Amino acid sequence: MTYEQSRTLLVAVVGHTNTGKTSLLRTLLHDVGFGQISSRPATTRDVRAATISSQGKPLLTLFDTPGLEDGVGLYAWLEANRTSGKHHDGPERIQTLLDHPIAQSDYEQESKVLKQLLVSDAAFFVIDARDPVLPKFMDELAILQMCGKPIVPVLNHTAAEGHQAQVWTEKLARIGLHHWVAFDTVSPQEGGETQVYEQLVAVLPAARKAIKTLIAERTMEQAQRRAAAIRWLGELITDVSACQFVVQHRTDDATDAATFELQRKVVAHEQSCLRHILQIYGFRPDDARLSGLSVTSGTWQEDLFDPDTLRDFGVKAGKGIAAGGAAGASIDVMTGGFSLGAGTLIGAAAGGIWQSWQKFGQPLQYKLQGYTPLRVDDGVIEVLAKRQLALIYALQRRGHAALEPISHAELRDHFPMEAFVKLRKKARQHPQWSALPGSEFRDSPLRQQAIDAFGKAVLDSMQTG
Amino acid sequence: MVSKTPTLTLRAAVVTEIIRLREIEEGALDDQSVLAPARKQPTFTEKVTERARLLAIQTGDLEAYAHLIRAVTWVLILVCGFGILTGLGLVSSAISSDGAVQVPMALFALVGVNFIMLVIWGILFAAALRGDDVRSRGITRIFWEPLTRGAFGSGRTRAARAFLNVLQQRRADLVLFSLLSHVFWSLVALVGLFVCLVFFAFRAHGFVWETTILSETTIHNLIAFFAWLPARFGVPEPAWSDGVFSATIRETGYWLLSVITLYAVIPRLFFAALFWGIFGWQLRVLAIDLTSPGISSLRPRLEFTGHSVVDPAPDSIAAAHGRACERTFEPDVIVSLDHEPDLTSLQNDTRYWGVIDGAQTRDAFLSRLATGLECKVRMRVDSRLSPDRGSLRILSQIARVCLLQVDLTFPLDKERVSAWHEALDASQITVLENVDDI
Repeated sequence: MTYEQSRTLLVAVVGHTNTGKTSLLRTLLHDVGFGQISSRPATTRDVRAATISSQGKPLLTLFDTPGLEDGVGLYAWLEANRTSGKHHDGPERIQTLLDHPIAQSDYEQESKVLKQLLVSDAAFFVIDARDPVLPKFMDELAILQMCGKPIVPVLNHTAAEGHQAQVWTEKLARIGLHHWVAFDTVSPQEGGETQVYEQLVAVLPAARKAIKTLIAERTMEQAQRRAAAIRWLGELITDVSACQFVVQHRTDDATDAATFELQRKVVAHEQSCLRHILQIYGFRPDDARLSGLSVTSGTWQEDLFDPDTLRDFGVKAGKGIAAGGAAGASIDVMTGGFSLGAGTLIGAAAGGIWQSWQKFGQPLQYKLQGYTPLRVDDGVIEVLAKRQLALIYALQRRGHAALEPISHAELRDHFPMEAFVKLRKKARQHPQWSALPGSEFRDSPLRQQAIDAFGKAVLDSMQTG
Repeated sequence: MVSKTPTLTLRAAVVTEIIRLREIEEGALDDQSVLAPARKQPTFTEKVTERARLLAIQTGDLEAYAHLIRAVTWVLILVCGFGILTGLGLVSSAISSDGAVQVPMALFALVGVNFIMLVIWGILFAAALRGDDVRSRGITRIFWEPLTRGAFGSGRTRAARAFLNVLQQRRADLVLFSLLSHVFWSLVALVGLFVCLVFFAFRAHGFVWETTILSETTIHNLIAFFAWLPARFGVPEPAWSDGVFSATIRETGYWLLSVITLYAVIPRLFFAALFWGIFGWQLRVLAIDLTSPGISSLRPRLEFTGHSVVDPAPDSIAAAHGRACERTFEPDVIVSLDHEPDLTSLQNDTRYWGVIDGAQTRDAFLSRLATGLECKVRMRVDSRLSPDRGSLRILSQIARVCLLQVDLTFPLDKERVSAWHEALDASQITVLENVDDI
């Protein structure tokens, strides 16, 4: 069966048992719910298909297959059952096996893999690069090569200590497999997915068009996911910075109660942001892999206002709530209207006066009435921003297999402090920008512009990093 | 980042925005019943808009959108009506009850005011293009403030906010209000022109230029300024001296009509047509911001690939079985499975046979066992490798002809060791109790 551009490209994901085939599929499909993953062997026992489409048109179908477990025995059987005249006809030899009763008994699982590979256009052969190159693995490869399909070896777990990728690539070259790709499903490198697909094009040039479309779509989706997550972060910083609670009776009890209430709302808002970011990256809140990032059941393990959490990020902030923090004021230029007439100008002036009242008059009114505005400390907002950004970094470079937290040093280097401070200050000036429950939230283009500017700075720092 | 979809209508964009705002404010809606039809759409944008449309039917937001469109239509009608009234008011200020047309007042009311407003619009438009916060103020605020502050109930308020949010994309709000402004002033100028035309055609009238503070030279210069453009179209400058036009009434009338047309009506109509075109283009390239909160998180649910089992799992998998024996004995022979990472420690042990790493070595070792010289075997297995049926088959084959104990070496990974124990127990193969086990 020769691949033609008019139909869906069929690729089987094959390999020894427990090497991460389903993990690779989850990563390529961006679907954490695909198949079952376990550290035990033989978790996948059926052949399962999932299709990736573009603009409603199916481009690529990936087949998850059971692990090969007895390459030694199967290779020996194939050698023992050579038919004269068909020594060099690999697919014919595989078909002989599939027609034999042993394909339904001892080698039932291996036969499933081979049957699928025969009707596929190519295969990803997943290798656990932590394993040494053993003869049984080479037997498996030899059997797969008999199917006459292009094979792309995918070296998994290359981020693990003591991996043997170098030895593997040398061995692969000796059997004519030069188009391998290192792709760690636990901690994939930036652009790793593209590299996997590019190697597929290298062994199956006819699939270039479909794969290029897929790569372009994936790249766009990745950029969209990143932008969306950063947008949430910008919204969170804005909401918390702008938020202002007014204590009507200036007693310790009232202030403590309001402080507690504000803390509770900020924490709830942060958790909501966390859940949305996880959703964007296709992670379920209860995903066990998030425990490495201090996230359990969709919530941060460490309370934002816990002094230990703040200390971890090098911040000293007491209760994390400051009383009497007045909004930073800036004079708005009254810009007038859109020349529909004198009424417009009057309206514009009224708008300007209203804004000026919000900035100058309201704090003054609070002071005269004995009210105390409460605001979240700068340090707390910094911690909040940093740990969400650390999460985004970790999710950004993860596979759908596991997560590795970003180090404090790495985060420090990539945190756009200047843009963060600018957004925080700007939000402080506009209490109505806070979407925290209980606030009189009003979105505005200026608010979106401020968030967009912050998002751009984060993206820039990501790209330079 | 926005994604362009040619089929996206204003209605789809606004309804999607309404649902987005609703879900942000009130939490995610239960969309189980609409997911299936939404997933059938070809692109992610279409999936999102279809989901929003179906949800909007359930929540009544589609009705809120219809109300909004009616409200916007009424606003447009009011603006037009106000424009007509303004035109009538301005032109009447230039015509006395005795039929005398005050030319300077006519020029100021029908051309001058229009021109000043055009300049103000130009300045504000340029400022807005530079990114100033103009567009959130002024007339947009007058129009939208009541709508967005809950004056019409939460559903309709949300629809209004959604409409404004969609318009703010690619600054369509700026274009729309520019369009409104130009339409308004076009109407003012057209009404002025029409009233003057009718008045000049059917009423006795005269033209005067009465002023107390402008000098004669200034008036001459003003007339020359306004006469320059009509002269390009063959309308001559009317002669004037001592507050009275000495040209014929008809010539002065034509001149005044041409001034209003060329300096007020045509520029405004030009801008109105231009912004109409731009606004139409903006509607055609309308897009959903796929990165916006509330939309971005939908991707995993809407882009769900769907899986299908093409070859089901068997009821059972053929398993090899060995023969259990005592756990502690001194072996006659030691052998490694697959490989031996610690060969140096075994080199001097005469009991060490070597590595079984394929069919040939397996057969060779089984042949040796068949001699019956050795009947106690210790198999060294690297527990870092994953257990597999092939290994278990070899171990079972050996266990069936001799006493076999498996020594799980390198017990570094607890889960792997446990997996080996489980697999060996299932195959009835004895595992050597290792003091180094974790």
